[in-house]
Amino acid sequence: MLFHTWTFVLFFLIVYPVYLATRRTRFKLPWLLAASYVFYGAWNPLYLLLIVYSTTVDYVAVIGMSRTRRRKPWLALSVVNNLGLLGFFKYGGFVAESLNALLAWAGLPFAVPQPGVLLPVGISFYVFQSMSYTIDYYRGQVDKEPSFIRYATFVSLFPQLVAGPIERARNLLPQLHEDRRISLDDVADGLSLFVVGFFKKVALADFLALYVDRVYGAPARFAAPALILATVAFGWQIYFDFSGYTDMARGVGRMMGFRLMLNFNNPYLATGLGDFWRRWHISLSTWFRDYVYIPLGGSRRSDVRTYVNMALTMLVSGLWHGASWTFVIWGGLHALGRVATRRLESTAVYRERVPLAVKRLWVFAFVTFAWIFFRARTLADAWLIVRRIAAFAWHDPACPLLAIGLVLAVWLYQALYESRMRGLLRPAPVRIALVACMLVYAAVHTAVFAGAAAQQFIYFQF
Amino acid sequence: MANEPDDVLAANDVRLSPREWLVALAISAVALLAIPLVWRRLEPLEAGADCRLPYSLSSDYWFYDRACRAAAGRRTLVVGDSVIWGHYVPTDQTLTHHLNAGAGGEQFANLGVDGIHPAAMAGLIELYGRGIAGCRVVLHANLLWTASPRHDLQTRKEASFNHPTLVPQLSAAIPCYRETPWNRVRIAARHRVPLCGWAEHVQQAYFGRPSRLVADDVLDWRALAARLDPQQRHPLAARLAALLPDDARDAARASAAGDGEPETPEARRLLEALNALIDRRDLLRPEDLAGLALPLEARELLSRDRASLSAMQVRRANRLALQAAFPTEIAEARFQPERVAKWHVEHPYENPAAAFAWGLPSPDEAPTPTPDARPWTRRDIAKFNPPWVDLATSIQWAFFRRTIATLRRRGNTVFVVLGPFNEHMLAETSRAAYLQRKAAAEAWLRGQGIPHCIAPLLPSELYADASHPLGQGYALLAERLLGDQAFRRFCGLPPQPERSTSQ
Repeated sequence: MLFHTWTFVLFFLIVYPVYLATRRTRFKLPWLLAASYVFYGAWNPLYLLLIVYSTTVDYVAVIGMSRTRRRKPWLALSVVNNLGLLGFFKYGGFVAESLNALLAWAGLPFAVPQPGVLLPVGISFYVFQSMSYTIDYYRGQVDKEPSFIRYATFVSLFPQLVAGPIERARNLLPQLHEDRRISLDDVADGLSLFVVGFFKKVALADFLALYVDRVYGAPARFAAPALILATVAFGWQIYFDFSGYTDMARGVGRMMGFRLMLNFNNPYLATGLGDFWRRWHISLSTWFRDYVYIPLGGSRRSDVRTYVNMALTMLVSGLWHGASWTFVIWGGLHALGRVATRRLESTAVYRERVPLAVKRLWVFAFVTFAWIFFRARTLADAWLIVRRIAAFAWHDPACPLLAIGLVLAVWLYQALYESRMRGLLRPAPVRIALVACMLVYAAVHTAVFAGAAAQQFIYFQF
Repeated sequence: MANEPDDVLAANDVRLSPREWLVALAISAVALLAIPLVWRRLEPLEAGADCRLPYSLSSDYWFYDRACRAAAGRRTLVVGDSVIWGHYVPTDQTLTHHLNAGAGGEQFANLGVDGIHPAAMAGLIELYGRGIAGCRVVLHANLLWTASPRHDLQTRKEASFNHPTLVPQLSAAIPCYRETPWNRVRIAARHRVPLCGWAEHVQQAYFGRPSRLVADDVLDWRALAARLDPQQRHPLAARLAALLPDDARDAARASAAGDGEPETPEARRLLEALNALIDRRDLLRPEDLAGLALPLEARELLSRDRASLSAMQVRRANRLALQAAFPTEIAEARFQPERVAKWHVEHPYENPAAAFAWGLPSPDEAPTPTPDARPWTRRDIAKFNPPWVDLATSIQWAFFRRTIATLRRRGNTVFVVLGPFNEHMLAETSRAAYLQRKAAAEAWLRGQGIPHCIAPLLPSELYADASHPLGQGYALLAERLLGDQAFRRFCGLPPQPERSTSQ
């Protein structure tokens, strides 16, 4: 079920009033859980078995930890189980494929069978969310959740279930305990978030996708200008798509009285790669920081070890996004970028002398270059695109001017928002006009140009 | 406004208070409601004596609603399927043209829709026919739609038929109509939101005129490639061949000798080169168009000064000429909803507002493919022997009755013209069954007190197929109708001393 479809509107129109009516009763959590499972089961009811299984194992692991001093085996059970699920469903095919390629290269007459299973929607998100609970409990950072229903609701809460934000138990579980009043301001704020997210998805991301898909669908047919513009367009497409989903998720959560964490903060205004990762997919970046980078030693040891830790974290992050070498290379590029620029970014010269626009442009250029590997269908396509861009030959890119105009308008808006002129956006008439324009533009654009079928969100595949 | 001052809502939060939201929603709702209303006022609507729905807007129901409102000023409105619309004839040979010519002035308006059938007509009148409430309506009854269970939409197996979105969505009235419950709700809702109707109008009238070639447009790669030879006899083919770059010509040669697959590099190169030619303002010279049966739209565009045409119009004219020159190799450039979604990619540098410079399609445009307007006897059409469906169980007849009920409920006075069906085309056994249905239909009309007349059987050579007359057939039919006293009385025409066939 996608947020920007009538199916979801109908679903929410049923779920929300009942939720409001049962909010102060013992039926609140069962209702939320049932609604979340219906939401998730709409893709494939069989997936529910997996989420119930994962939830049960982690719940039992924490119960187990709470009853013994030897807590490590229970933590290991949770981590191995979660990573095992992820490994089997997400990386099984990739590992088998890579092994087979290796065997073929070595001339060995064996082949590892492909697991041939479908990747359950959102598995990377809820597995990480559930696993963070057991790790936090092990570290003594959260209390044990005695209610299975509440814990299951925390793992599967439908607004953030399939594409995040990846919530932490210490943020969301207490909210499931609370009986917080839902004010009109909450509803208004939720609606604001939802509308912004809806606009990003249907009017911007899906529109840019038309050009990106055309070029990246057959990159051999395009020259450098089209490949560059399609890559830039993809950078914005994935931002609008994913942050649009997050905005809608947070908006729905807000209307239900939940504060879900901020996931994007104008990433293309970042002034360094470190800054970029503090602004892009924040819930995942902080997850990797807390559960990979810091356990590896973080920056507490030598410089070399810090760089190794950073590189490892980025590589794992790349692999999290997809079971393909292109994602590994994407993570590797960011690792290289971080390692190469970490010291530079902390120098006074960089911070004070380099103009803001230059810093932003170089970060954007680097991130955009890395997107090539993220978006390309195969490694061969990615290399082809890089080679063509490097050997620049002019050919009309035929990129819709409207797409360029929309991206520039959003960039300008964001820059204005982060500048001293932010006050210009504050007056009520400006905000009302902006929302009304977004609503009207999205409605007209969708009615005239969007196809009948709603486009999936990019991050659902992860 | 914020619940907590330090609460981070979102980057660049476009954040409104409840009261501000009400204002924003009200402004948006007014704007969205106003768009179709303002459009009605701004978009010129041709309303000449012989005006009819442009063929390419046959599925533009929002526009039909406008046409109804514009026609409501006429004395009598003639409603029906392609027989009334005039599938085989130009606008100056339709039934309403001849009725106007016979009665004098612009008394009759053509509200026929090509391709419609009674089940869809019932939906069309119910949803989009409010503009003719209270008017005098002549409704055409075509019993062809009860000729077989397939015509009558009775088959249990899923079948495709015209205007499916107009049939009832929230009931299982039509067994062969299969659509998911969700899509049915969506379709039903869209009919009731004016913005959706307007959007479909804009798509079909302005953004639905493709000009660039895509792989699916090429019907026969090998034949197309083979015809792109400089030695070709047809001047346009020779011109294209001469203008093609060398590598594209090589690609054409390779494609002609290949297996006709569209996804080969040669086919793609050829397509790219042809699209580059379609972009050229100087592609078409008068001598290249000799002997081509250009569609009306192309003729109209090419009659203008080439320099005054927009790039989009140049491409469209070139594309139409190409498909006229290669009718079996290149598909006709019709409205395809999925291509509208890609309009910006196909027209990267065009201002979308420029599409509105097209103007509406002409009511004179011929259907595609162009119908063969010869008598059925000269078109190798065999007699047919349909099983016919009983009117008592007929779905289409039930919907026809529903249309009458809707019209009457809205204060319309209704006159039914039954036929003229081409009985010459029926095998003898089937003819007897048809006459029974005709008698049953007439009995029902009489029983309901609905004024009606049975259209005369026209001479065989005046029919193009089972139910469509040719131009002369319409003239004869109009003459007979105008000679019918009941018809004249209904239409408010002065009486004429003529033998009546009406009841």
